[in-house]
Amino acid sequence: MEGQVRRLAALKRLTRASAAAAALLGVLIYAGVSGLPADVQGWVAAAAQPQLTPSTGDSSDDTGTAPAPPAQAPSSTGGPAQTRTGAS
Amino acid sequence: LGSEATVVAEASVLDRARELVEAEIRAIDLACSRFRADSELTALNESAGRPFRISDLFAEALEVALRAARQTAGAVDPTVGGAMLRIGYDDDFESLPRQRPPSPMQALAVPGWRLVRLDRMAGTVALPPGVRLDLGATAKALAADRAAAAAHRATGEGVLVNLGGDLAAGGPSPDGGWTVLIAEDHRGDPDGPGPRVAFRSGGLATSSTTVRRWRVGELDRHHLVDPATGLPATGPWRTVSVAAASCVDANTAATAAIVMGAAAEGWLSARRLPARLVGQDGGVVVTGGWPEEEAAA
Repeated sequence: MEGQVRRLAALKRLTRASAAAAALLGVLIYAGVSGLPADVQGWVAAAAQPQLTPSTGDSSDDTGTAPAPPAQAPSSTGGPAQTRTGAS
Repeated sequence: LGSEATVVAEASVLDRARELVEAEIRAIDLACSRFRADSELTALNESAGRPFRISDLFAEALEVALRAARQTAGAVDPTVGGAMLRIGYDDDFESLPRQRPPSPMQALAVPGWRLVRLDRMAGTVALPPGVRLDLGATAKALAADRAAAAAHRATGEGVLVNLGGDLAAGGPSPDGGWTVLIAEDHRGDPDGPGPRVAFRSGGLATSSTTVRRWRVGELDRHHLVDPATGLPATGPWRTVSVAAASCVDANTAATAAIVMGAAAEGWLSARRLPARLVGQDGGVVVTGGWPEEEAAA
């Protein structure tokens, strides 16, 4: 039992260390990118960098999601309007 | 944001709600306006590829814009900023000359939203040099959502916020829902002619090619750019209204529908989004449980 607890504690430390390493690697990658010539650094960042830090640039965490429908579709009404939608 | 704003609430809480809505508009405008020299967006567009530190609010606005791009397979893409300049939309619309001299304009796809490197953990964003963002398709709707939620939280009452035709409901609606006149131009009298619908929660938004228009030589231009060509969208729909779970989702879907053209009806139906599409000839098609026109008129 005690051994299991120790293994669990070690696993937690390892997980934390991995997360910290990933974050640090992300920072290093950004630092490396910013050292590139100005005309290529952005393209390199866009095309080649792995997703080690949270980014919404090209992650696929919600691929397949879509604008969500309302809880209830609008209903027709003949009453006076409180406001108006239309292009601005 | 270059638009009119309307706040609807119980009289006892209206002043407080209005204060909060105005504060939200000011904050979003300062973060996201393409036409303010002091906005974060302007500074980012001039950042020449360097990682750029941003506020939490601007990060949220960027995240929303990128999510809209993913949700629409790039039909709504924030990297249309350069295309906007090329088509002549280079100033606040009220200041824009309605007639421009002719200039050659070729199709050129926008750089694409996948190039935007947003790092929420670090609070930075980086764009490739030359890529410019325009958040017009989502920032105003985000302001409406945030303002309605803030006003409801502060007052405990139901609040309807209308920012230039982008509507967001916060909290409970009146009996029968919030009643809205559907029009192509958001300005004018809510008692004007046109169909009326009532909605209870979420958002309702309209995108149209009929209002922000100008001429370049002999050609008409409007502000809804098709990212695939970098030119004003051409297609069968001139105006699309959508109801969704939020104003951002509603405006994202409405703008995407204009850009998608003939595919829009199926795209909206597949997502069960109530929508009203007005064709170039004035014909109306509805999807997703939107009231049939005869019943709504």
